[in-house]
Amino acid sequence: MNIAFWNTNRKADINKYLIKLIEWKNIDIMVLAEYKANGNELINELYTKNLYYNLVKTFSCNKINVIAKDDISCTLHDDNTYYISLKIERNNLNFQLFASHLSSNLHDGENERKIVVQEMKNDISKHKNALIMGDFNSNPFEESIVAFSGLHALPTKEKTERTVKTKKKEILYNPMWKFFGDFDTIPGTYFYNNSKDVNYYWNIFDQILLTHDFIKYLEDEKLEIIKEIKDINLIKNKVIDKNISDHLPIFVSLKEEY
Amino acid sequence: MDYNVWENNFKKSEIKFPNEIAKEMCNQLYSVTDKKVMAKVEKYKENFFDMNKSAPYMGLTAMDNFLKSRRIQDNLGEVSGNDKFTYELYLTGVKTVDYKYRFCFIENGVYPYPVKIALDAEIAKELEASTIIECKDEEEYVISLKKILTSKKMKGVIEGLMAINS
Repeated sequence: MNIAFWNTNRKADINKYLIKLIEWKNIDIMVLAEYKANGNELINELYTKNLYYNLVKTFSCNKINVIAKDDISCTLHDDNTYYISLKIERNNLNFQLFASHLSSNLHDGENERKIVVQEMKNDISKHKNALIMGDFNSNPFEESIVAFSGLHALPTKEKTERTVKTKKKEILYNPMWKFFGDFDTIPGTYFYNNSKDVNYYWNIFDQILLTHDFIKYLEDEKLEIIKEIKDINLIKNKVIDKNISDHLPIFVSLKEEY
Repeated sequence: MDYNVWENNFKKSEIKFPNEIAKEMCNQLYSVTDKKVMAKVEKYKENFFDMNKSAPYMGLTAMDNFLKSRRIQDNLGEVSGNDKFTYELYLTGVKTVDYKYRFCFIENGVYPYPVKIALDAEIAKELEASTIIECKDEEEYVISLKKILTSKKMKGVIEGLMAINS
């Protein structure tokens, strides 16, 4: 099963890129943040190409939109302002998909953001098989992602849980760390330049995380930060082409037979 | 010698606990929506406000705030994390039983007040309130809860749930 996430930066003309992306990467579930184009038009355009998708209806969350192939069963469970969770079923693959667009520390207070992160982690911990994806507005090494009292997501497959002050919590696996490094490529999903004391230029705000039991379904080598959609380059002058979106999409593939 | 100093003169407190008030208010929704939508109040396993304080990376901040405040009563005598009672308040539908829109948490100590409300961000924005409200007594709490339950955001979600639970 192919799943992608993209913060589309409220671009009204994003559907033409989404259609190409969905078709090119054979995406089964497309999760969108800051999507302000017409979802029904997107579904209809795909239909004319014999690609059959449904829009997942939410009642509370306006920050996330999801479209899924019509042979996938998607049932909405958690429906909050900053995240949703869907029960996904197709063939032998059965898991909980959490999709999130968290606000930055600057926008909401740090405590408010922490409560949302803890709330989401508590909901995740109810499921053995869970995939968490979204724009967390934090890098994989930042506290809200790594901390015991945050999402508790680390770059290790070996450790399953950790105890702090007698409380035990499951560790999530964060495979996005592998995109850091001194590569001759694009080391992030979001580019930001400022004149503050600390500036990373490239950030990996868009991430996927997995519960320990679900790691075996991940096709590691297919995990990707997408830099071009077929013949369309999402990078211009070595930074993200903001005419398309200010974020790059991420792509993950899951084994359906295990 | 009789060592019983209590004389059995305890009276049950007549103060209503915040979760009981929330239940009374939320229970009305079921009949108002023609038995389609329910607002539930359930015990929540974490004390999230205290989790913030006890978090390893928050330790310094908590101590920093303590030192800054220089008001010892802010800290001494406070109920510890394990003695806090946290409840989640959420909407669900009679046919969509797995659906959950958690619109707020309430948390109080052994004493019912003050009670803290951690509120859905969009409701907070609509009410022009903070996402964390502290109510010093029952009156303040009832006023806040009424505003939350009758917010436009709640109305929208309830109407959506009514439509798919018909």
